[in-house]
Amino acid sequence: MQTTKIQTKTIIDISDLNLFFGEKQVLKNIGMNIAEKMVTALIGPSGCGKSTLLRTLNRMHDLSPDAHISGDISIDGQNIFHKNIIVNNLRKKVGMVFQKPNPFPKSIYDNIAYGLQINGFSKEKIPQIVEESLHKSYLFEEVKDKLHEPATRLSGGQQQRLCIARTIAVKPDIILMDEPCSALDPLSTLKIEELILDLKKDYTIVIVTHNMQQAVRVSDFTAFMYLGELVEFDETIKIFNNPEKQLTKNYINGHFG
Amino acid sequence: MTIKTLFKENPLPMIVLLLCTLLVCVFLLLILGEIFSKGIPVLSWAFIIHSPENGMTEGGILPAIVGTLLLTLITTLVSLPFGIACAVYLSEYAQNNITTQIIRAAIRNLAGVPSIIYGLFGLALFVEVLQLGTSILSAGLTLGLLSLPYIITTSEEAMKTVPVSMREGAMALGATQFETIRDIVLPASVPGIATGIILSLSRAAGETAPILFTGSAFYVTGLPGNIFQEFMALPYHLYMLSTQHQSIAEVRPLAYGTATVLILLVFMLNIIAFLIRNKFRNKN
Repeated sequence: MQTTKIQTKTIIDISDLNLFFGEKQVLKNIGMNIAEKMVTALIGPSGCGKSTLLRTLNRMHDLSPDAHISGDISIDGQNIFHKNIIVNNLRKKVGMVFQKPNPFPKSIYDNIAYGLQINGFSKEKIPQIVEESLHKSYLFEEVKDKLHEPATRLSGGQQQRLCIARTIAVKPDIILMDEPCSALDPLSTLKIEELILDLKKDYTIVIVTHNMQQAVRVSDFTAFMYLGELVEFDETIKIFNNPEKQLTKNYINGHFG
Repeated sequence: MTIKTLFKENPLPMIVLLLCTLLVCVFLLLILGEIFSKGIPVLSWAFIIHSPENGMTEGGILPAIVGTLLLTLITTLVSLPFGIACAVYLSEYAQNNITTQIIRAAIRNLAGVPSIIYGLFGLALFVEVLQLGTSILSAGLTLGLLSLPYIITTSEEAMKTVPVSMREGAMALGATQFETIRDIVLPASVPGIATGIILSLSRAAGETAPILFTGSAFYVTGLPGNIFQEFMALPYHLYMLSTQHQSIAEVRPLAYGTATVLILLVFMLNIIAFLIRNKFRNKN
């Protein structure tokens, strides 16, 4: 099957990336370019390093003292490991949605307003941005009458959409999603997937997923990882219809994983 | 498996354990029953709002109540900021290395130091070296030191129960570590911290040995006017009425009354702790 190359512009450039937790090497020589305003899926069996790779992109490993990283990651041409990079500014630019919804123990409104406050958005604009973000994450209609109730009273799917809303509120360029639907029911999953396709217009999205159908449904590019290595990275259509490597073929056909 | 089936299978352990538990409760009830039955008849509005009279054989215990409240206030002002600061450091910033382990061991050991040692230490440091004299301030500082290990330990435990995912959520939005602690971790651990603080304060309020040498007095005319004076306190007043007074039999009812007031004050503190915990639990 013949595929036409999608025209893209690189936003994240990863080269020679190695990551160790103590003695154990978790990422081996990763090199890949992630395209702007596209959805890139990271797939592979548990423990292959896909979540670890995702978390290097906003330097979440800074929190674990035994993680050692070598190699380069550039975002918009800037090396994110450079000593002049202020990690909080990086994380404002590279937002993250986690596997389990993790709303703060605050009201729905404050969950979104919090990121705006710490990033210095002007007080007058906050209510408007909160509302916009709720609209964009298709949550507004469901919560408009209870904005000041605790976010923890929402359902799991609503909580995850709230976490997406609070991420997009601070206007990042890139959104990292670490298996965002794995704790959700099928209907909530469907809503999040629709949301991802919609957000692609404005944001670059990198999503880790265990669900191969999900990768097919939402992503433009797919990277298959195995034992810390990047086995194959190409357009999603190509990966799922005509992979180059036997390992990739075995995995997408469900022979292991 | 229900408790009933467990009981049927092997009744002995459950019976023994239940008896032990009941025995503990019986002693507690006996103590409270003894004190309340003899103390409550003495309680009256006059007992609360009057000073001791006639060589302490009559009158009330107002100076001792005010003294204990002031003392507890100073203890709070000393131990609360230092205790929470120390707990935040240990829970959020400290690397897990040998220095941290030594610090933790030191704090654990401080909790085990007998209270009379704190009293002598307070006498040496606050009263003598720092020249604060025998005063409410010296006694409050001493009790503050005594409470610190408990406050640090319970606050640290409370912060540790805040899930990592919550901290990551804040940091992923661009919050600094300090902002994460201030806005997410501390508010979420308020119930645990408040409970720990109030319980250790209620324990400090009932201590006699640490204030014995550092500021509490047998008798002071009038209410304390400033924190550099000697003062009367409920636990010391009770000790004195029960063992040091020249006519012990005559003042025995007053001693029971004092004990009742002290226990009620501690109960009130515990109820406040309970209310704070509930309030925050319902909010989230």
